[in-house]
Amino acid sequence: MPNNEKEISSFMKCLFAGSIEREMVFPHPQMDKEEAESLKLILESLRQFAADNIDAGEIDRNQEIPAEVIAGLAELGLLGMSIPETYGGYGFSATAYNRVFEEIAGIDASIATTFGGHQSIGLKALLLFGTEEQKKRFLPKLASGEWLAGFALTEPGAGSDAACIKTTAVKDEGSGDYILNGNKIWITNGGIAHYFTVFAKTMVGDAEKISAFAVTRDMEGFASGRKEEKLGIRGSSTTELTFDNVRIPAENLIGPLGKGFKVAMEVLNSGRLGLAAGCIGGIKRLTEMSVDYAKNRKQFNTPIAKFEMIEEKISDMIIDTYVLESMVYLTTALIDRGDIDYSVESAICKVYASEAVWRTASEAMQIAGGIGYSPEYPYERALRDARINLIFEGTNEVLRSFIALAGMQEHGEYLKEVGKALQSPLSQLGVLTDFAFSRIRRTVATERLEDVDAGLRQEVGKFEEYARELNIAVEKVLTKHKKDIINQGFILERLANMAIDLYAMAAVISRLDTALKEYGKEKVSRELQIGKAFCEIAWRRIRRNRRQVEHNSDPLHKSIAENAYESEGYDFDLIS
Amino acid sequence: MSVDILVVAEQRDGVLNRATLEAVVAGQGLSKDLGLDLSVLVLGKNIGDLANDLCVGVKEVLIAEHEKVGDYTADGYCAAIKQIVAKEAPKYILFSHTYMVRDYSSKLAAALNRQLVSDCVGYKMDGESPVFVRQIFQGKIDADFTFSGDGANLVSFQVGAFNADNLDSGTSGEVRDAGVAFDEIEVRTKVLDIFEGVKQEVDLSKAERIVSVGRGIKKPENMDLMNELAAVLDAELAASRPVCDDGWLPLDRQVGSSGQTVTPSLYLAVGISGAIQHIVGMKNSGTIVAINKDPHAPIFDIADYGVVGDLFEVVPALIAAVKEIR
Amino acid sequence: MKIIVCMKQVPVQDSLLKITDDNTWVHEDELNWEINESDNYAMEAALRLKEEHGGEVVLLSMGPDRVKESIKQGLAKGVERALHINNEDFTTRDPFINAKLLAAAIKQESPDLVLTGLQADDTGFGQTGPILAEYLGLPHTSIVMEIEKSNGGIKVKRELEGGWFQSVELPLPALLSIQSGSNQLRYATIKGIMMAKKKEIKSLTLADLGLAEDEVDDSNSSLNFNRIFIPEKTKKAEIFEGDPKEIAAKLADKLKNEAKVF
Repeated sequence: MPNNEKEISSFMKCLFAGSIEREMVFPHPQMDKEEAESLKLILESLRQFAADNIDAGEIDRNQEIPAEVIAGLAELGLLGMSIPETYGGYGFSATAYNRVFEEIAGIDASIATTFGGHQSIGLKALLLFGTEEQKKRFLPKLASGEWLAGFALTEPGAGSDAACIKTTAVKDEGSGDYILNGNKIWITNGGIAHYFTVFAKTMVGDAEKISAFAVTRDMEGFASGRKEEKLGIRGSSTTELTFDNVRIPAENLIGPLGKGFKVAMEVLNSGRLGLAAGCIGGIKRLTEMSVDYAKNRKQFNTPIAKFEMIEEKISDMIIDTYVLESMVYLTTALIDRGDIDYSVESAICKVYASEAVWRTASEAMQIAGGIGYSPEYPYERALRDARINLIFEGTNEVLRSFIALAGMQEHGEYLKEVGKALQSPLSQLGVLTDFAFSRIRRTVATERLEDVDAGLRQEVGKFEEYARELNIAVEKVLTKHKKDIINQGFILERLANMAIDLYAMAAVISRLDTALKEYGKEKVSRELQIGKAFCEIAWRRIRRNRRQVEHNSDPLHKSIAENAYESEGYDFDLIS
Repeated sequence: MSVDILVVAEQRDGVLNRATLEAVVAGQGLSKDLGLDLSVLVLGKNIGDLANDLCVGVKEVLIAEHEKVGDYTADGYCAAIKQIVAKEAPKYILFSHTYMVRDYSSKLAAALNRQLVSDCVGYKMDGESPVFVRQIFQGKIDADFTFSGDGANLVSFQVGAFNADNLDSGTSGEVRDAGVAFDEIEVRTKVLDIFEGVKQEVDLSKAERIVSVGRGIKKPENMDLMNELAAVLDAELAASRPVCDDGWLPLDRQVGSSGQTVTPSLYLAVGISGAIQHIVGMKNSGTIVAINKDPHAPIFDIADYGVVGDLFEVVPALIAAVKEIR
Repeated sequence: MKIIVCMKQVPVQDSLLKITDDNTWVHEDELNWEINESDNYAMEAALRLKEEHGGEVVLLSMGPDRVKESIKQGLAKGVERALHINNEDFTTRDPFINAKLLAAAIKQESPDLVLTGLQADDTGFGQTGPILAEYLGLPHTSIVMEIEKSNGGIKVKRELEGGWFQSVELPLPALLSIQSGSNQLRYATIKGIMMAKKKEIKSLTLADLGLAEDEVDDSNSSLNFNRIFIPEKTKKAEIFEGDPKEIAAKLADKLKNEAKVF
């Protein structure tokens, strides 16, 4: 990967490097008034349509989304939200698009997955890298919903390690076409999409590099397999794709030859926000259900809502929702600003959101008690639908490694001997973007977060303190491990966790500060409670992770695991 | 000859709408409370016999017989009644709040430059003046209304607010011609035909026991369970409007303001919330039982026995319990 | 065909209502609002007629500033333009005064057809349509389910009690009150919402309508809206809760031995 000399702004990378770029996160973004009005109307229409036409339970049971539902949503215009108006879409901002996506996910996870597969990632490559001709050729029908789109990267041997895909696109020197051979698995919309962005290995000179291609179902040699049976999001079509000497015209190459990996990573980078926004929708729904149940269910002559252990769970749900909204819609605003590196922030949102919705689904089932376990109620479906989010669009383990490594990459550069060495393993990590190797643009190097409402003084103090701790920890681990830092998974996990909580704190403090300045303390009092409760949890967690960077029993855990590999499991049956 | 309280009767093809008698009962009440006389007005064609029947319990019956009011039209009724009001100067004009009355009563009030309080659930006396009570926000809140100024006060009463059985048949009046100049009346709308939406297979008004089904049963496949409950209770199956609108049960099983009005000795409402349009069709039933998982469902306000619970658990248990006890 | 649809914005159904201290109305600040249900069906009927016969649909609504939101929903569904009588300064609940205001606005437009919903979900008077017909001197009918053009004007199917229906013909111009459930309501599409941004919402003042302040003063009416209150429940239901089997046994027993219904 070539080193990009352009300077790019990134809030989290600056934070890792010891400076707080206040301007990027303050004030908390507000939607343009006109767009907000339109958005309200769209959400209203969507809710009405859903109430009349969408039965999530049935979709799950039949493992199918009725064609009329997709057609209805297409007619509303939802399949073209993020496509520019010139190509038949509506040119929504990332914030507006993701807010609608949040709503869809709260209604049904399978529909959200289908949508996301189409719009968040499937056709994204065309938007980001397509030529004018390609956009004109494909986007209008994708906007109207006449065609659906899919994103085809994953293969049997290439999941997290996306760089080692084996599908090939060999150039036929005579015609200039590429001949595609190979197969892909776990492709969302595999059975129903007409258009796919497919990634294949191509020869660039003597090197094998990945390129991206536009492939359509009507090409000879293209086939989609049977629908995979899944634990959750069962209504969405997930299939294998096979390419048997599929002839692709040269005009279907998306982006420069050999730059397909970058295309993939860019697409996934922004697609990740959709997943996070979708999780918010799911959590809101679960919270509503849980509150309703707890208030009405009586045991020991009391509504269970009054029991503290239940209150704790409800409080957690509310806090998670508030934090996620603060983070996700801050990040979408960063995307809308244009020239900002949001790769780390986007990964942070995905990790927090996926784990939060899984946690919430489990606790919602716990509150519901026995009935939660029965398919007559939506709890078990929520649990099944939620689980995939920790796995796809980058497993949370890989994303945590990325957050930590990308975050400290520039500091590594500064330490000279480390920086360059990081490049190679980082690119192998397979989740990076072009921004990864840019220099970070810093305005004024500041360790203070200035001009925040007095009511948040304590929280700001903790944020500054632990932002400093992150920077110190990075310095220490790089000095100690140098390029071997790439293999220090325990440490990377802790640094990533610190980063996640710091970004969350920044987002929440920003949101509250903006609200306090606009509405005053009284109107914002309930939100203030949530923010303070979260920041308390967050800084304590950051402190624990920070301590464990140096004080831990990692060697023991490593050894235990390695012994387990050797003995193929647990070897200490107490009673045999 | 003065008309104090005038009840406007409703008929179709010479057959009286029973709701008229409820309005007469209301009129009798007001008549007693205010010390006023009670008259009835009937408009239509070939209504001579009907006019005679209406003489029971009132001072007199005014009859306005003509082609132009043979079929009901707003133009015809309003113009005719307006003439009568100019001549007779009644203090109160009462109606039963039927579909027909909804169509013309407020137009009539506007034409008289007076006002109408509609769909009243009753009235109470505040000293010498009546206070009329009607419901707003779909039955959740009551509102008091009083009249002021000179001229006729128009009131329509909710169907079922008064009981036709309470008609005091003590006195009996005479029929006289209302003296409407029909040639002055222009009717702009034309009634083309009247038809039944669906052939009635079952006459719910004759059922002794009814099991009624609402949206709470979630899907038509669950109707079998309701059929079983109806069978074990030896009852007819009925439904609220949404269930019939969705085609889960035929229209002739619909109970409510646009369906049938029923008065069985047992009305068991399953998964019905109790919207006003349904309640008016069954609230005079003998024993009302409601099963609903929402403790705030309005149906519980008119029930004798209420079960707050999941109907999918309660109904099977009830079927078993009834089988055992019968 | 020029069709005017009267639309009222009402509190969302099933809102939690709190009566004011003076018992005259409910607290409005915390409420969410929506288009009155039967008015929505009236609008749908109007849009379908326009689509079939050409012309324009104009939305007329009276209310404070918040009504604009509901008006925009109408514009998003395909209504061409809207008229807004802003009554921030003179709220009235008298249906006759309200009709007077609406009539003044309608007269200026000379429509072929005026559609209203059957009744408002809040006050539930159901009178606006017929009163408007009187003030505008238009033939009218109500509880309309279907509308079609005919040689003599329009022919409608209206609902009667007990599952009966009636066909009525009226000359144009005319006024119709539309029943809920008469059509499948359309959803505002993103395209419609975007186009709505450019559509006109004309604000009408009392002066624009040619009315004086005392003409729209509630205290001059002959019907007085005295007070509102939560009704006392005269009937007290015996409520069963808990284990289904136990409930069922108790209930069956009560029905047999107490109510004696079988």
